[in-house]
Amino acid sequence: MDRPAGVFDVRYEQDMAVVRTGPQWATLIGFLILLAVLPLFAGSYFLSFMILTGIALIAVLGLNILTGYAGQISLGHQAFVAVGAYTTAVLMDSFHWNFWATVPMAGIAAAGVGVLFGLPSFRLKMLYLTMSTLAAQFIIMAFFNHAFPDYFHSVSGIRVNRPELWGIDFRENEAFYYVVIVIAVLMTFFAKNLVRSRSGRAFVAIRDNDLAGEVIGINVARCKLYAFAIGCFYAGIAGSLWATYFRNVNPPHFHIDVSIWYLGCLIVGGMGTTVGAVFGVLFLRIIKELVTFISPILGEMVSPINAPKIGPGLAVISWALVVVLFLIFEPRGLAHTWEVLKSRFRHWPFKYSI
Amino acid sequence: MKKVTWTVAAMAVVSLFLFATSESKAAAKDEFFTMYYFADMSRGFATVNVPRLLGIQDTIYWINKYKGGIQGRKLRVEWADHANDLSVAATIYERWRTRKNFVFLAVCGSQENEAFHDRYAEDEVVVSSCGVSETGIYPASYAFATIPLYSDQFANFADYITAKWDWKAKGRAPKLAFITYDIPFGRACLQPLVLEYAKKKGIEIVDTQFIPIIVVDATTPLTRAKKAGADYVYGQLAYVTLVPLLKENEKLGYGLKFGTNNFGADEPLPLLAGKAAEGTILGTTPYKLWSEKNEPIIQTLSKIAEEVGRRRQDLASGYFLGVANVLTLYDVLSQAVPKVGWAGINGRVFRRQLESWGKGYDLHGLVKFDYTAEARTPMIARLVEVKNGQWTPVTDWNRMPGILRADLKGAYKEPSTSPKPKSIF
Repeated sequence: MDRPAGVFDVRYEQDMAVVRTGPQWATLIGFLILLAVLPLFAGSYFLSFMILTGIALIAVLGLNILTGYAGQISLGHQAFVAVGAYTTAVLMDSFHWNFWATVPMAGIAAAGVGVLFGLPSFRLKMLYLTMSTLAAQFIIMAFFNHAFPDYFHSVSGIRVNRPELWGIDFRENEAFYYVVIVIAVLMTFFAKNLVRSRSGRAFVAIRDNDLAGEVIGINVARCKLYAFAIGCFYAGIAGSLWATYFRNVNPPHFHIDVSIWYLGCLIVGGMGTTVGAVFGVLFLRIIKELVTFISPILGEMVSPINAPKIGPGLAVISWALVVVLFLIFEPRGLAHTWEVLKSRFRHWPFKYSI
Repeated sequence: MKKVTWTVAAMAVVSLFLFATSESKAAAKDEFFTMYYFADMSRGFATVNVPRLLGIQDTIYWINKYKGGIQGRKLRVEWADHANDLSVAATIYERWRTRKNFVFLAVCGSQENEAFHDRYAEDEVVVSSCGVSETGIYPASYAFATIPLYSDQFANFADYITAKWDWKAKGRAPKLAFITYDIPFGRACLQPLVLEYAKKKGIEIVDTQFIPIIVVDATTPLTRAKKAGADYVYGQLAYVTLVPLLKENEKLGYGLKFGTNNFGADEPLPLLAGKAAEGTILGTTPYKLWSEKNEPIIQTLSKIAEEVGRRRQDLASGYFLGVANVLTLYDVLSQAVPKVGWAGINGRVFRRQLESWGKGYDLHGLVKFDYTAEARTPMIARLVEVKNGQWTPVTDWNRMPGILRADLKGAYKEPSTSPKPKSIF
């Protein structure tokens, strides 16, 4: 990684550190403080945007570990989010568990189901594995839609209450924001560190060449299952937060479009980088929000009386166009753009070096 | 890199401009009463929700132009498309929630109703909805439905076919196959209480199948239903799904009769299915029909539609739902404002006024609502079928049986706190 001029690593710990320089520490601390004080000046709309972005980020970080690092392409990630959501909902609704206890259980349940659907990865690769994860999406959702109606209430869905802790009512966005952001920050930190660990390096090795990985002593099968377990654990945690944010769980919340959207976030952000997942989720969520603003305006610009017919279509086209243009001009994702920007800044007035 | 920078910069400037314009526009509309509308208008349910917004727009146009608005104020609608994405619906809701004039919202979608049901009450926002899964509307709260519950719509169909069934000559019960969507909307006709009702009526359920909204192969489900011995097929289906089923039924000569809900009994169906729909499909609707040209409300709506320049395809059943949303707003404000003044209008006053309508409230001759402390849906509807290329009534107006889970029944319990501090103007 590029370092500002004059900054040298003289110890192994320095070389391994995520945050290496004083300014980096200052930026990180400043960013965390900003996140902490955001509810003091941001409105409910922006907080809700941040909450949903945080939940999506947790899910996409999981997909990034599974697909970006370990190379196991998954088109069923939202189904694993559903496992987490249903775990929390059923434990709270039928067994009257406390929300805080259900969160890790949601992650563990999703990890367990992820391992089950990861078993085909022993034999399948690339598009074939993609098809098997696609099957997971349909099987899991059909399960929640049809099995155990006394617990899953298929048609009616499950109502969930937002938690309370020490008298704080988390029904308000200002309070629930902290729950999501704290978990999202911790899980981002964990994801960033995981890929620098032995397991993380093994993930990258089997992604790049599993045969070579096996030759150097990596247990490929176990490693793939680890990736499924960890990636789906993230999805489960995201699901748990989803259920409590919407206070309701129903199969249509977890349709395949969202699984594809998660994958889109990774591609736009930059697959195989933690910062790419963050950028990708932020960018595509902002685009989604912008579309809701511009569709009535676009419609009215063309024909006020027919705006409802024209606006939504134009908005979908414009958002698709943005993504296509983006991929044409920056196929390596926003993470790469970020690296280029940093490099430009550091090398100015000379040409950037990436 | 330069290209990327310029593209991003241009996008940012355009976005900021659009954002700023939308906000200033909203702020300048204080002399209006704003109703809000969000729905899926670019995905699977656009066929219902786009006509609905057209109905809203046209009725607002009519009220503003010919009635001078409501109690001295004109109406306007602010809308957004959530593209069937609950996370987008949530942020749209949050964007509007903090506005002081956000007291009346029109939605159409069971999933958002179920997700936001409790929040509507917390925020005291009255919701007029055509997504009527039972847990989206009940327990009674701030959500009011513009169509009967799907369970009641099935019961209406079951009552008719069992009354018409020649039990002696046939020597057996009528056999029914469910062909529906595997989503809450589709499975609303498969709830235990509905199946119990069918059993009580003596209907034999011979098959249950799930199909997608866009039917590629209509032969297989119809053949399976026919093999199971079905006389009737019932499905919570949109007209786009029913058209290929009806055509294939005619082509194969199976002679199956179809039953569906109000979204299946839609205006484009006879246009698209042609002869295949004639006398083969029954649907429930609480609304008057476009074919009832002597009805004053239909004459008025036809006149507006002509004035605005609507095509026949635009006048789908969703259009009436939009008209009903605005007429609901019109009546509530016309009744409540003289009592409490504009300054006294808030969500709680709105809800109470709606609850005071009682059973069978006639909304300008278009539809009758049962809005009481316990009830939140229209309960009077009739069956219609396709005759000579248009929907025509086959039964008189019937009262729905009111199939609802016991735990969802009961009056809304008003909180003891004072209303949300909302001074709209």
